[in-house]
Parts: sequence; C-alpha cells; structure tokens
Amino acid sequence: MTIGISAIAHAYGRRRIDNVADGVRHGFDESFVREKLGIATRYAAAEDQATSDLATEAARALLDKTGVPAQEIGALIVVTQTPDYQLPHTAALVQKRLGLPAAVASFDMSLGCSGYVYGLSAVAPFLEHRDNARAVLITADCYSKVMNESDRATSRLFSDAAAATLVGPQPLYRLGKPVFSTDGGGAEALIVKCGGSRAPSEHSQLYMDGRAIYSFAMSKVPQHVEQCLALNGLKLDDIDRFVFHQANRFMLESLRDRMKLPPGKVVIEVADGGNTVGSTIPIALEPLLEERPRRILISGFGVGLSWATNVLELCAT
Amino acid sequence: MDSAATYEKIAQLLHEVDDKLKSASPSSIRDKHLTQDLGLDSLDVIKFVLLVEERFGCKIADEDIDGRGLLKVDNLAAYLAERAAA
Repeated sequence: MTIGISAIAHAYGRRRIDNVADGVRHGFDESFVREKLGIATRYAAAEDQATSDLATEAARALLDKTGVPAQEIGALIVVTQTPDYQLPHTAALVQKRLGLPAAVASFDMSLGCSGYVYGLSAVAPFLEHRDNARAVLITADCYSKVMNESDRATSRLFSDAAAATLVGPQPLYRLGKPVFSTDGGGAEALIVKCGGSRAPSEHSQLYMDGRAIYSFAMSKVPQHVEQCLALNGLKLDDIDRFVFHQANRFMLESLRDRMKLPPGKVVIEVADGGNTVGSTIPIALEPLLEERPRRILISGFGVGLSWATNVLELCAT
Repeated sequence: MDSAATYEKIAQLLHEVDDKLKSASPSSIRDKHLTQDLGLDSLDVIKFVLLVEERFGCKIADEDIDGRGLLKVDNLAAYLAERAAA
C-alpha cells in the first residue's frame, strides 16, 4: 500500500513571546537573536495548557480542514518527550478528546527532533487490512515546562507547538525510503534528567550542550542526506526543497553552506515560532503542500542523539 | 606545521566563520581574543572550534577551551602545535 501525507495543521502555545525584546532583557544582543538565531517570536504554553491540549487543537484543525470524519481514523500516534503524565500515554488522552472510535491504534513515540520522520514510517502497519483508514500523526512538545528561562543555551530557541499530519492511502506526497540513525553516546548532549525511573523525584531542567549538538548535526546530517538520496536513486539536484529540522537560522545556514545547497531550496522558517522540536518539519511542510514542489527532502536530528531522513515525492494529481 | 603556518590557517578559518574578518591576517590576530577583540559571538565560536577540529585533525575538549584559554589566538596556536607534536 502506498501511503503518504495529505494535509498538515498546527497549533502553538497560547503565550506569545517577543523573543527579541525578551532576549535583550536577558542580556542578549538584539541582532544575535533577530539575525543569527533568526527567531523573532516564540510561543509557550499557558499555565493551563499541556502537550495533549496542543496536540488536540492541531488534530482538530486537521480534521476540520480536511473534512475527514473521526470514524475513518485508524491510528493516532503522538510523538512527544514532554507528555502530560508519565502514564498513561498522551495519545490516549487525545483519542478521547477527539472522539475517535475505540477501534483505533493509539500510542506515543518518545522522540524529539527526528520524530516526525520516524513517525511517518511507523504508520503503515496500523493501516493494513483496514479499507480507507487513515492515521493522524501528531508531533507535540511543551519544552517551556522543562526549561529554565534564564539558561542562555536554550532560552531563546524553543517554542511549544503541535503539528498534526494526515497520513494514509491516496496521498498528496508519498514517502520514499527512509534512513534512520542513533548515537546514544551523545544522550547527555540534550537531556532532562528528571521524571524518569533513574531520578523520579528530582527537579531538573533542560540541558543542552550546544557545541556537541552543532558538531553532531554538521557531521551526520550531510552524510545522511547522501545516504538517503542514494537509497532512493536520487541526486542533490533532484530535490526541489530541503526541509531540515528548523533548529535556528545559524544551524540551517551552516548546513546549507556545508552541503553547498542553493539558498532558494533550503527552507528556513524559524522567525515565527523558532524551534518547535518534532513539529518544525511538519510546520515548515504545511505551506509547501500548497506550493507542491515535486520532491522534498526531510531530515530531523537532535535529542538521542537521533537522526532520520526521507524523501517525499508529489503524487500525480 | 610551523607557527606561521598555524596562524595562517587560523586566519583562514576566521574568514570562513565571519565575513567581517575577511581582512584578518596572521599578524593581525596575534594576541587577540576571539570574542573580546575579534567580535565572534557564541555561535561563531562553536562553528570556529568545529572547523579547527576538522582542519587540524584533533578533538578539543570543553575543559581545554576554558582551562587552556583557547579563545585567545596565541593560546590556541600553542595548543595546536603541542597537539600536533604529541
């Protein structure tokens, strides 16, 4: 069965933050935030909002915009590392609030910035043997709940958001062959050391080793792109748009320069929203579904360390 | 690699990191501090250190950056010479 992407919708946390003004208040240079990071606006969840709220809002927007009835959803996957609770899984909460039938496969995937690419590939088995069933793949995280606003390494980068993608047969874009990689040796480069079974009661906040993450991205992502293109029998020139994980402008320009990619082909959409973790790729893809370039390469990389790359190809319409 | 060649290479890497440093020469970067004198910001430093690691073929530990004062060009040049000789 050929499956792929048909539509995308997203939702941000309710609290809008002027990242430049807020950055200046915290001692950052204005041009550093506006031009180097390229993130003018961030969004944080309000006090009463959690990951399932953003996930539900994005999924509702998706079902509204596509007119797909809830009864036709056969699978619901929520990619998150900031679930509402340690248990149950966030997908169950979202299933209830969306009014999806009980006969739906619902589960969470614990991945961050690579999670969207993984999630797309996880859908197919849950739609087999079900006529016309489709899946909703949600990426959703609320890093503001685990972040220290005064931490210089992370405080200007992240937004709380969710993106919901309709995945199924007769898609607008079909999935190519993916490449997945992991390096658990880098696990401590991006970590929240609390809430799990190793430190259940400690209070801890997001830590990021920016140099380690940058070095990882610069060394691994270009290789992954090459591997994925080779696997799909494609060359760099065959790709019309490159949608990398939208970490920040500096990271994206560094990747573009390192891979010698034409500037017009590399999507940089960080000004409004910044780094929304697993949701950056679908949020950047959403307008491209209207524009409809023939081939889009997507590559997510980050916490784990984990990275994943795939190619989306426009189906005949 | 002799000292002059090391400074030459460091100057080239600075050109790559920041357009504003296109005119930096080996002599003009002596005694300079990457952030305080040459104006690199924290992201430029990350990019610069990765380029140094790649072009000089050595890993630089975070502890060395602070402990050996590697944000000063002279300290960095001495450090790279030491690593090359090891």
